Amino acid sequence: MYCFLAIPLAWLIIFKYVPMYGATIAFKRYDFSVGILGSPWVGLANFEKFFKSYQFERVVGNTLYLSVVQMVLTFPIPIIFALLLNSVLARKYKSAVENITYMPHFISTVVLVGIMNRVLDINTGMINNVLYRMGINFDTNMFIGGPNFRILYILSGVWQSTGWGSIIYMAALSAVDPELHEAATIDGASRLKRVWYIDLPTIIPTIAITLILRCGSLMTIGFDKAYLMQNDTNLVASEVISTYVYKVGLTAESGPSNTSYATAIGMFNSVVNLIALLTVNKIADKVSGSGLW
Amino acid sequence: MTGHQNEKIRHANPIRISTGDKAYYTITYTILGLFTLLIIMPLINVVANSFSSQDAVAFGWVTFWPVDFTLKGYRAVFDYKGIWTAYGNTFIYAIVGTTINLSVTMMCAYPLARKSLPGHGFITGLFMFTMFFGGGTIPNYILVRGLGMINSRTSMIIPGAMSVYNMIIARTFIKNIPSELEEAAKIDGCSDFKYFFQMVLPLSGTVMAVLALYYAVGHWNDYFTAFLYLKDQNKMPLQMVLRAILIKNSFNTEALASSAEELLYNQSLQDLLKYCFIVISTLPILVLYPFVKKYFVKGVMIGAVKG
Amino acid sequence: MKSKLLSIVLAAVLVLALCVPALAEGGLSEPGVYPIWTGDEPYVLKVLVCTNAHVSDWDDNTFTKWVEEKCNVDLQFEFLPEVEPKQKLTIMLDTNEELPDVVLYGLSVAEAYNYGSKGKFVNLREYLDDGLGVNIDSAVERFPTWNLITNITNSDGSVYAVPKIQASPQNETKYKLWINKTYLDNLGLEMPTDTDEFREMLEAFRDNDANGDGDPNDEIPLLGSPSSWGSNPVKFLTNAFVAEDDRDMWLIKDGHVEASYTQDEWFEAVDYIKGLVDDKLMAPESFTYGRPEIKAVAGTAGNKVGALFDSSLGFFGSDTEELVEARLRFWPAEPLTGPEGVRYVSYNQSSTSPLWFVTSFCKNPELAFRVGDSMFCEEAYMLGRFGVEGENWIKTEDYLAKHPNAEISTSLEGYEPTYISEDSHLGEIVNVFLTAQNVNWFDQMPTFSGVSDYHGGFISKYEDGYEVNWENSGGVRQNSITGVYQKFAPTLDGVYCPNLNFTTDELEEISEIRATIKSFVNEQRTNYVLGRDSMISDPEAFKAELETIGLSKLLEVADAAYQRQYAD
Repeated sequence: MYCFLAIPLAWLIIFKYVPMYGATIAFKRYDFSVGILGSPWVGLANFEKFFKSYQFERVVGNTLYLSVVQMVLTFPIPIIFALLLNSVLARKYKSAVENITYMPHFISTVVLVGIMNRVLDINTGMINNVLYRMGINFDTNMFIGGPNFRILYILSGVWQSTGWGSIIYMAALSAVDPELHEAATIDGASRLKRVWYIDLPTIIPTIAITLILRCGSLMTIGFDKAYLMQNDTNLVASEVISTYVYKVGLTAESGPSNTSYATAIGMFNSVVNLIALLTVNKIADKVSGSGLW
Repeated sequence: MTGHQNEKIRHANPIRISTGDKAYYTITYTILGLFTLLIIMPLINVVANSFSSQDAVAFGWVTFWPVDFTLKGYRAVFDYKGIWTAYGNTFIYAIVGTTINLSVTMMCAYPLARKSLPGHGFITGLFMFTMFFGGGTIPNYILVRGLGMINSRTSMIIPGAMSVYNMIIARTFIKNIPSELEEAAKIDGCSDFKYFFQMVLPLSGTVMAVLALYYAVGHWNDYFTAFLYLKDQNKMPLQMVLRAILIKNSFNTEALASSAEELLYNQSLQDLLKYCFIVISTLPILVLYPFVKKYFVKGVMIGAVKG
Repeated sequence: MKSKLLSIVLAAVLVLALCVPALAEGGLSEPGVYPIWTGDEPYVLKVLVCTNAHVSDWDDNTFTKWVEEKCNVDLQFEFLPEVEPKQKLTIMLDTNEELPDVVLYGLSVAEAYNYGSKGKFVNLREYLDDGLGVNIDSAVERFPTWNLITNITNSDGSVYAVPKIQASPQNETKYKLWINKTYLDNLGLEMPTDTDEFREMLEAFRDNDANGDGDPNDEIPLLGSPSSWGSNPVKFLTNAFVAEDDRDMWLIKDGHVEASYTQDEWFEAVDYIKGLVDDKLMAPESFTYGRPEIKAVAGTAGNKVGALFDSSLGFFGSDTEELVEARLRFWPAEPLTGPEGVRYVSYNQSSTSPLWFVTSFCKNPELAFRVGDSMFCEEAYMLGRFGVEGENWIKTEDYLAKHPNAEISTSLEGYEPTYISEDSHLGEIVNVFLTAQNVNWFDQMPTFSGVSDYHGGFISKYEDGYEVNWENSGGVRQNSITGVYQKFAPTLDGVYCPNLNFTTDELEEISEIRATIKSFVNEQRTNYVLGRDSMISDPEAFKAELETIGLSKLLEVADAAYQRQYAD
């Protein structure tokens, strides 16, 4: 049995654990000329600097807010989508829906943000024009202000990830025993009931695992989209950890010592993520018996 | 895809769709239809943009049909010398890489899925720890250089031989294989290896298809590994070359003054190219996806075996 | 037999190849005497550059050959990828990879110091002090106020690169105001000269049917963009109250560094701009739009925009008649005078940036430095920027000798047009700048422009009578207004805060404060102007908050750097 694990474990140790010493620069003042191991220790100074920084509450708050709302909204949608799609009888219709909905996954963030800017433009945008012709004067500039940023950020996420995210559930649903459906149909169970009592229970383990793994990225809001959608008016909601690290740590003005600072912030995120994952795992284990261990 | 089973149901009960179910189907079809419509409109816009003049793109004139139809963007890509080599490289990396990814992932997921294995929890923990903590770019680079893999094609495949995330997913699916199967096999004198190859792998067709898709897309979109470890132009994958083309055609005013600015802007295909890249990058996946879906049907086997 | 012969040939080639460095015997010439390398064989100098799609062949390249012949060296290139070259270079430096003799890549002064002080790059101070940089010395002597070397000198006096400078007046004053002439004509108005007249003009645009399409409400009086080139909606106007640059918004007052955003006049400026937005004179989109959006709104035949902030309006391009027309509707305005008589332009002085680094792996650093210095002159600049004389650019007298009926005009007021580098009508002068070419290194050379950019003329009348003038060329308008803007540069009365170089310790102390304050000020100002929640509504609270972030500390460090670098 351990023979199977030999190759994966060897790979893990060489490519993951050997370079792990690099993580120590979070506790050091990095100096490339003496290397990571030779750099002087500074204890928790880099972490303290982050906790005390002027923007700490804002960036952590925004990251958590976006992440949690996104999870609450975008986590169930692909599941519902997969369940609905799975019950479609017309094969061509089903196939067409499947083939189209996963495609937005391949649209780059730059273009996604570009499309939003264009469609919602207050002067020339399609939505404003259509509404105007319908007699509705929609003159809200969707790009001004924090709440609008959050709406756009999350809705565009739903748009982009629903189809792709449902693939794993579609795969899990294919394990449903057709005989169960037949038996239930003969017993007069409606399709909705069969979704609830047959389809859903089958994919519960998959749902549990994806949820747990998802919580493992609680403190992670990707850089690109937030940064591209940012402007002075929505910073109150759009300044997240990744954009902040970029601004204070990785621009030419910021000086060399910030490699350590950026690493420390990253490590802080990881610790929070790990705690979130372990907590949710425990809950999932208790509730559905399908935890990671 | 569950077309087969549904068809079976329809054949077995041709007139059994009740009024309640009718309502259910109507609502389902409508929701899915509307959602698909919402998704397809911007997609058509992307394709239409990729065939329009750069000016129409920059202006936002394009809605659902190309404006001033042109192949300029695609020509800029396919006239680039080395584009076909890059395509070939990406195919090699994606095919070889995905094969290795899947092998390693399944080899790892299978033992870890068995509760009977002593220490499986600890080992899983070891793997999962690396999802959160890592050494960063510099130690990785030093390691790969130390292994003599800089500027070697192996650097595109070996350091990323497995994704722990995907391994966990695979493990979940393998766990679903009923344990009675294994017990029965054991009684028949089946070794772990035999059981793995003859039962686990065939029964994991669905999840392997999904993971193959995940891995292949990952390789297809990966540029950072190549950026970090490769030097020779003839080893570069498609994404790296596409980025180079974009930079070549981009419009960076900072360095320029006066009339050069206009000149460059007129030559700038940047906006247009972004749309072309999406089409170019999505096409292979369009081809791949139907194959993946075929395996979703095979997953039905689990039920069959169980029954 | 054949293979034996082949192996002999191969061995011979190998031996030869091994011998080349050994053969490269010779010394260095006296300073200022070319060629620099006196050996019979050219000295092999390995250079790391970024691949560039605009340079088709680095070895068979006019500029390469010019350097090689002049200095008696053989330049051999190694390449960084075109994609994220800097990150790659940083990794190579951080992991102590072996480097070629020279790194030809632009780094900031702070980055250069970081790697230089740790021994990656050779400190060139000694060579400079010994007078080995003849071109550099001559440039410094001719342009003492440009701080050519002071700009890149670190706190300990070290200098780690031969720099590059392109003194470009157009980029120094990029924040410009353009006004729709058809609006002015339709309403019978004059170009505004001060902030009050400007406001009255915008009111007229708002209230009347300025574009004459019958609808008095479809005009956008004023539009800008926070991200487009020179389009920032606040920079131009603020400078009618107080000088504000677009780097750190620092200025010099009584010989010390201060912040623009704590001056009383700054708050007046913010109120003035807020008034424009409140009264619907400036569109709120000015704070969210990017370049494509501006172009889409201002470029259409509907003629909907009254005034624009932009560097040159070059983004309109010339692809369609409609776009050419749209661009020519806008006339550049001169800087406005504020209520207190202040009249600055938002200014960024062209300055030197480190480019040609001699690495610690170089066996002959003095030679490498002097080769870099050999390019720090106008001759190299013209070749490197425009190309070969007679083909890619031409001296005015030579052009007029060939075309006696043509007329050449000056681009920048007060500067004689000594050469021409563009010919969009007859195409006799071929601009190679943005094509795949092997004439130069696409602007990546440690060259010194001097005032070359000021003296570029244009053909105002061609041999066949075709004319290029203020009426039909946006480029002519931009250049001529640049001359006016230059007169209001805050350098002239010592208000302008030049480039400051910090030590690594200082950077560690201030970098976060610096980034935070910049972002904070812009955010608060934008929100205030748009009538949203902002601390600026109470200036004292705003200043107190700046103190909380660490403004005093920041200014103290900045002032120390300023005194160190510029006070004499």
